[in-house]
Amino acid sequence: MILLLIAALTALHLLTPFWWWIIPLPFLYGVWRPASGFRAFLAGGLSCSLVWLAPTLYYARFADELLPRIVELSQASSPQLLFVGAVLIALICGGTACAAGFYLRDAFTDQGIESDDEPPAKVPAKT
Amino acid sequence: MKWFKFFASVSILAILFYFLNYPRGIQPPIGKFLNPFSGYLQNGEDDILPDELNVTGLVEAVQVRWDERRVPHVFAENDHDLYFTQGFLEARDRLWQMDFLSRAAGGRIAEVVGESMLEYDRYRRRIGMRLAAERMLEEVGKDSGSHAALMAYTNGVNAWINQLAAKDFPLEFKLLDYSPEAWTPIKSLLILKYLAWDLTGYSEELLLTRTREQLGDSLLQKLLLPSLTRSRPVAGSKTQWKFKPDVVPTAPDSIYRPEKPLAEQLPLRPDPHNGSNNWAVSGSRTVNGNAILSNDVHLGFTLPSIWYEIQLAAPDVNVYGVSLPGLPAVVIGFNSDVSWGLTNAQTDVLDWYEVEFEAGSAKRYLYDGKWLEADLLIEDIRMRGGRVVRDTIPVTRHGLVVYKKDEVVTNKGVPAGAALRWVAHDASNELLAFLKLNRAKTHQEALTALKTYQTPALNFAFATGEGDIAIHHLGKLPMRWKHQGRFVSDGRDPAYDWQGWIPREHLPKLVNPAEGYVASSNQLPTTQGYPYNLYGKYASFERSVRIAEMLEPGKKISAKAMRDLQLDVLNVRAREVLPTMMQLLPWEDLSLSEADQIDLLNDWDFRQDRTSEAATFFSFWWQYISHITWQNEFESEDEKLLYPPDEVLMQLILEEPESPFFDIDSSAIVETCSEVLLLAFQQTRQQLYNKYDPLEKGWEWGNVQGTDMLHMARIKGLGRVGLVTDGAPIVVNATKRVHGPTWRMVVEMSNPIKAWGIYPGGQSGNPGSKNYDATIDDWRDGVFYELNYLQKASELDDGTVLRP
Repeated sequence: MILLLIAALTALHLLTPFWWWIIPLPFLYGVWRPASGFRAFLAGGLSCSLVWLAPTLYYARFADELLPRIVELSQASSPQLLFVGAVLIALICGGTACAAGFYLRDAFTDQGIESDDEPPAKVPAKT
Repeated sequence: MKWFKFFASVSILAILFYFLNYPRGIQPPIGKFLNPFSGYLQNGEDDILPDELNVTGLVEAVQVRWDERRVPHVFAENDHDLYFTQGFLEARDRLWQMDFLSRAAGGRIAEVVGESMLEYDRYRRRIGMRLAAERMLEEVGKDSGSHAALMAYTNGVNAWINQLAAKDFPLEFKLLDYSPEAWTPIKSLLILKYLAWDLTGYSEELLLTRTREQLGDSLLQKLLLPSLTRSRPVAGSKTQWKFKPDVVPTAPDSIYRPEKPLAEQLPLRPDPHNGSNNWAVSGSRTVNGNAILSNDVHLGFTLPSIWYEIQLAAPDVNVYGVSLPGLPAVVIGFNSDVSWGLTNAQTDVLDWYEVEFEAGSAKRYLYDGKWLEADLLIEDIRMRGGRVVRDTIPVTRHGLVVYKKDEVVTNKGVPAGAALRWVAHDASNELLAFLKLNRAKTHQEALTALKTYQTPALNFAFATGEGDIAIHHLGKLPMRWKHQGRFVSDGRDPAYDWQGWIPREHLPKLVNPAEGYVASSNQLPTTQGYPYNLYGKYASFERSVRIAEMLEPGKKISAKAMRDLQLDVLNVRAREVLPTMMQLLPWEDLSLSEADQIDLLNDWDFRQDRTSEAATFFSFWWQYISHITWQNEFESEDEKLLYPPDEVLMQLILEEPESPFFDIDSSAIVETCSEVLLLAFQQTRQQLYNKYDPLEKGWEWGNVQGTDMLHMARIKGLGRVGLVTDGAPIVVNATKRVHGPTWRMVVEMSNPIKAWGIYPGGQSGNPGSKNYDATIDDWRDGVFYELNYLQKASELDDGTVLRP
């Protein structure tokens, strides 16, 4: 199912110019699939990171002229730092959004929904 | 707790979204910018046009051929398609530059950058840039040919914009976080007016007015307005003016002196940044027997480059040269019959008139003893974020009142309460002139083409296939009485109005002179025998003298010699005055270590080479001599006045070394030139040791002067700084820190034409393209590229067919 999230993210990024798809899509996924907040963060964060990392590395191959300029402009010490920055944005936004989705569902239910690709979460003890 | 976790994570998301989606100051929105699908990485690759492309708006198919420097050679079946394609290609390569320049001209930068640019925008509105462009548009509308070309160009630009996806926007749009908007004809004309202001929008009137108050009339005349004789005038030294001149108006009995507050304003010490050269040599003087034209056009360096190289061919035209992105036609270039090059004429076409408004009114002003009503020009200046600032500008019969008397003046040099009279505000159609010039087949046709040319006034040099050479000091030049417009004028008195125009047929010119060459380098246009009064901040004599001596009769000149002359760095001033300075310098008062620099100067070949340490020492020494000599008369703690031209100081050193001007008021002894030279020598040495460690970078001229090509919007990282270059302001290769030769061209009018050229930068405006700054190193090293002037498209293989 994570593959579905990755595919949807990639498609929407290719079809539209909006960067913020890494927020609503993982959020919806979080509402739907994960069994814990931590797992949701991992699922959303890693999916979005992957979706941003792959094209970053791909397009960087053609940006020999551009990258040194952007490094100077952004005062980053190296192009790799720019790549790390992009991946971190995807990781944090995607992860947090997915976790938020999970927490929304969790607020309405007492028990997580069993997932195809993830073990069922333990029922949290009621306080 | 569950809800807390939800709300906590949503809050984090909201904060993240805010920081990643919106720009902060001039920082781009980070999320948008780093998004690999549509952010900066999409600009890393050169966009290559396919072999065939369908473009809506074309009438017939257009062949575009590319050479190895990505210069497009456009072959169209009709003029519409020709200029449509020019717009399409220039938008493809320079869209952001075009957008930014038109905004900069029209005062619309704050819309995309924010409130920090409000004053900049306000000033652009108040000097009437938009008004000037609108009047020009109205004039262009009266001529079907130029109007059609402008509309075709506009549609071509929009055809490119309309097919752009957000990911394809030029990098600067992403950095500044805005989108390209539809191109309009007024934007093209604003860019032309931007150039006009760049070349003519400086003024010494306030500075000279103030200097007159300080020095008095006779000293002003002797030092500031002397008759300078070293320069070789554009129209030649021996020209006889055979026409019967129109009646030149006479000066009023007493010259107006503005009231004190005006004279107390802080004036601008303008640097008109001249440096352009053009010359043409007759076939009788060249190695191959063909007339040759040379032109190096000096403007502020920018990246992307100000110029775009292009060939435009249609059934009635085949022209090659550089265009100004945003405007149809070639501005400087050649066809198979005529070549032309431009330098700034420097003749003053801008005056300030002090306006007396009725007490309590911003509208009623006094003129010729009557109260007249000013028009009010309303300008709405939009800020990023939506705020709108409304500005109301009174427009008197002389022009726009840029600052009201009680306003804070944010642009030095602009007198408060004065109206701006600028020729570029008058309706004109320079576009038509360039369109016709592109098609001219003879010198006479070229002149006829320029009938509608008004501003900025330029020196047009021509060489033709028929063998004619000519230079014309051309523009709409006001008829002036003696000294009219040199000082702030009285807006109440009709005697100060411009009294008509110098007839075009009487403008300075030199056609096929016996010497076999014509030349200009922003210098004085005529000798004193010329019957009309022309004033301006003309360039010092050195470049004109050097070009003249290199083109003097007796030598056969080749195109290579022409290219070499553009790169010439011999300092004529140093050659003339340094030997005398070395004689006058009291060596015996120098220490042993100071004497090292004596050898340096004695061994100097007067060349401003990048490796020369002597060039550095002389340049600094001269500045100190000037400062020490004139500081008594021209500076005090709180005010600065206009210094005399350097030629006056040269004259004093060479002929009046005991002049009282060399005496320093604050010292007990009476100084002569020798003491000033010694003091300046020691200060120079001290300054150079303090500032440039001889053991590190050293005093090499290229390091000390250096050249920076900053990005047009001053975005860090997108320019090239610290270039080590040859040249100096007063040598033929007048390369300076931020100003210099932006297009070098030599054209031999052979059959077929042979031409060479280069500009610093590259055809692409994309900082991610190798063609963004590819030519800078070659340009710095004096390389010229052979220009591919094609007769038919099939001469080059690589190409694109644009189909309707």
